[in-house]
Amino acid sequence: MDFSSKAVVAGSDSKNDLKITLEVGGSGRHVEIQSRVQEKFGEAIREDVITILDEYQIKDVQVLVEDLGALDYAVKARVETAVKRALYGQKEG
Amino acid sequence: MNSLYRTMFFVPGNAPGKMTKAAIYGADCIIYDLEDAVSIHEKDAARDLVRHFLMEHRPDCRIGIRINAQDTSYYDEDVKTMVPLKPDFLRLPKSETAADIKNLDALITTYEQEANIPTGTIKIVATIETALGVYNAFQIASASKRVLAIGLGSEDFRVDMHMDRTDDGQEILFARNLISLAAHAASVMPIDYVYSNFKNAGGFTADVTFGKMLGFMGKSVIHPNQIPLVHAVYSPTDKEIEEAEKVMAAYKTAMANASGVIALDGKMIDKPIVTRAKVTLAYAGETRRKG
Amino acid sequence: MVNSSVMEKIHAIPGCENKKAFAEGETIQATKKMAARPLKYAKLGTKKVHNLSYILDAVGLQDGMTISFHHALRNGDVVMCHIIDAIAKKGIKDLTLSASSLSKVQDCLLPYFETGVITRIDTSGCRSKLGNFVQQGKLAQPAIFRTHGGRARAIETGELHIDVAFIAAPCCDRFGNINGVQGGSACGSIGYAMPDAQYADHVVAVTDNLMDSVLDYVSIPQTEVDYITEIDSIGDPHGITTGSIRISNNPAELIISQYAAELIAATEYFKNGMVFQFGTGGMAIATAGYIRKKMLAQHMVADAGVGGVSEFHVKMLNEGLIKAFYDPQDFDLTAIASLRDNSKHMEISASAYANPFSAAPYVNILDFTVLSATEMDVNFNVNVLTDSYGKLMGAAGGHPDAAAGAKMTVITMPLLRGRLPMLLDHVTTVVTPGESVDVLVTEYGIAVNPRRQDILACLKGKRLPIKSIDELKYIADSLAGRMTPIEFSDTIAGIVEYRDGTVIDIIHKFNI
Repeated sequence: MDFSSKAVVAGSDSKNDLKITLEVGGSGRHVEIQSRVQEKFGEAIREDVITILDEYQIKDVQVLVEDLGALDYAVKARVETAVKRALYGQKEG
Repeated sequence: MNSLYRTMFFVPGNAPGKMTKAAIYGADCIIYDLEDAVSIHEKDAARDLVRHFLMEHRPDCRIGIRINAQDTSYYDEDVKTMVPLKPDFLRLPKSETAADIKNLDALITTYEQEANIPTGTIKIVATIETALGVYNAFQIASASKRVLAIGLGSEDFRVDMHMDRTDDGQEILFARNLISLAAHAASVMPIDYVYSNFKNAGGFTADVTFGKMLGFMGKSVIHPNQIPLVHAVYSPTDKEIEEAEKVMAAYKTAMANASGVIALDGKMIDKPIVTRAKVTLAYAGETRRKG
Repeated sequence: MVNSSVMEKIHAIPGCENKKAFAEGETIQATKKMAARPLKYAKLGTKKVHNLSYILDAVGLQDGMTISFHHALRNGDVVMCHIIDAIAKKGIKDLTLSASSLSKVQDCLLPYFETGVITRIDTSGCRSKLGNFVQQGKLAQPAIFRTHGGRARAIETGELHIDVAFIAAPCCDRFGNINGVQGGSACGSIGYAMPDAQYADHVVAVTDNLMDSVLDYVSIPQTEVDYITEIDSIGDPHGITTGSIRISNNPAELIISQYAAELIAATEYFKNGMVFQFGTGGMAIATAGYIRKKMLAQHMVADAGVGGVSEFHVKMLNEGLIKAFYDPQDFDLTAIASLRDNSKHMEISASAYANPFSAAPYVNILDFTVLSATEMDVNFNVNVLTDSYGKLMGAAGGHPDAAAGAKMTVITMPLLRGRLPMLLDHVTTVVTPGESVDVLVTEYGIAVNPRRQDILACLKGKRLPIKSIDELKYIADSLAGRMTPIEFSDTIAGIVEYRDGTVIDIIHKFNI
């Protein structure tokens, strides 16, 4: 995936966490998932990402998920943080 | 006091691994921390994580959120996003005056109303971390009906007081005493400070025991291994339970006889003793239930 | 478990025509006599010590034969590679390797597998590169996985016929007496080598510590050993013994260990004169630690411990908390020294330990055993052989044997490892059947097998987090989220045998 300097990041590379790199724009939704539990949970992770994108009605976006075994709630939270940072900027508080 | 807060277990609000596991350790209360455990760049991420976590996996125990201090830009957004999640309380760091508490009280009311939550549902626990705060402890404790407990934040307190830390904690003795006194005077719970050297199990148990002796009703902890140690100190002995059961039996007899005087072994028992017996049995019941 | 179509495929494998599928209940039937042991004779003054090449010729090693090794040297072993290299140099091939287990260090054997020197194996477990090779289906026929007791049974009934047993011998005299407790490569109990020494056609001791005078401590007697060969080193001490296994300091594992100890103490099996087994590993040692505290508080003494020994077990033995120990394997130097010096610490063969075909193996005297698992399912079946993707990474070991023998079998296992739930509808590979597993202890609670209402009754009012297995599964599923099922190939890369020789599951082929 190609990200410009406008891309935002959320999460971390700690165990049981995940890192989201997200850039609004381009054409269509492109979601790439790299997970240590890809075979078993790749689909579930994708669903989590789509759920949040739908909530915020994001149509054109690139999302890279680098997952280290995060549970669904953490995936959704991190994607939401990334989306908000992309839309509203990362301000103090 | 409706339930036990022997342990308030702090969990970083931005660490999914720790948040998920926190409930297995049996703490009476888990506090999800948006303040010191979260870097300034991740305050937004922590709110999102805590929100999603509580929506999906809320544990059975009491839930508190430590919000950022009133003088930060995060304070308002913290209260706004956390109130709708209906935690049992918000924990306010650096509480210094009654006005601080009243300010938070009003802010919570605003957001409770927006979320259709009955006003007064969400309580406040005040952490006192400065000389002025300790001095005002009674005012803080009685500033609002929402105040459930007050506690000492020893690290910042020492800095404010120009104190060196000692191994036996002599330097914070007065503050601990005053906070316990003020809390009881205001009919709220005093919660003992975080003893951060969690590898020193013997020192920790001694500290918890001393705190209980001073009147504290629970302890803030930061490591899971501390939890059973605190519970052991706050568990009543079989003899204490027996005594408490006798008191309660005498109390029930008096109520049934409508005599107004509670007698046990020829002595009169007044209200504080009955209350104390109830607390003991509550601790005992909790111990039996959860261990 | 296995179905009829799998059994059909197994019956088509040479040598596996008569294998039966595992069935629940007490189905073990010892109907045959034991296999005949070779009759040996050595003229007075026969010299046993020779170079390896001579010995290989003398035993008549040929293509297609079965050779065996024990795994008491664990990850320090160099004997397997040394011997097989010499065999390969003689141009011999198509051999069956029967190893009581295989570790990462045996990855050095890979070239001999690839060139067809070894074409079949039976073992308790294999991992790493060998495991991959086996799982890719590259052997001439599927590998056979046996428990410790099952391997001994197979040898003693003749089902597993060994042509030449190569016994790594930390100490060996020139008459052929062997022990594992003396010398720089000491490994402790060599119980796993004893059935081989008794039943193999030819027995060759391989030592780096040849003694001129007769040994004062004999584990395998000279009456069974035909030849002796000396090599520079039989193993690396750092791989043979572990440093002290520390009590786990992972808070979640400590919770599990505490629950396990509380649970055991609440049952009738925790009593003066009990016989127990704690596996090795941080969590098992932590559980043993909590049990020890309770024993001290209640002035309790155990009659015996059974199974593998490490420093912690020796401590309890020396404190007088355990009266005697029956030991098929030692893990550290403290355990080895104890075996050597303490007459109450006794070496037993793998057969005595776990073989169901005897008047009673030592696992049968266990009041309780505390074991681990890679996975478990809602029927209490346990996997210790593969990971959640079906990949070989562990060993059956004595797990099914201990579980079958013990009056109460306790499994300590985290409910999730990372995001992966360890409690499933069906384990990836059944190794220990649910009928012999009684309690699962996780950090989220304890589940008792419904077959054991007696244990459940003991736990009432004991402030333990008792849940049904379905409740635990629900918790696991709510945390892990929706899991995509994995498809396994139909091709059989390995056969998993229960201790009585029946087929309990298979290892699926896959491309790594």
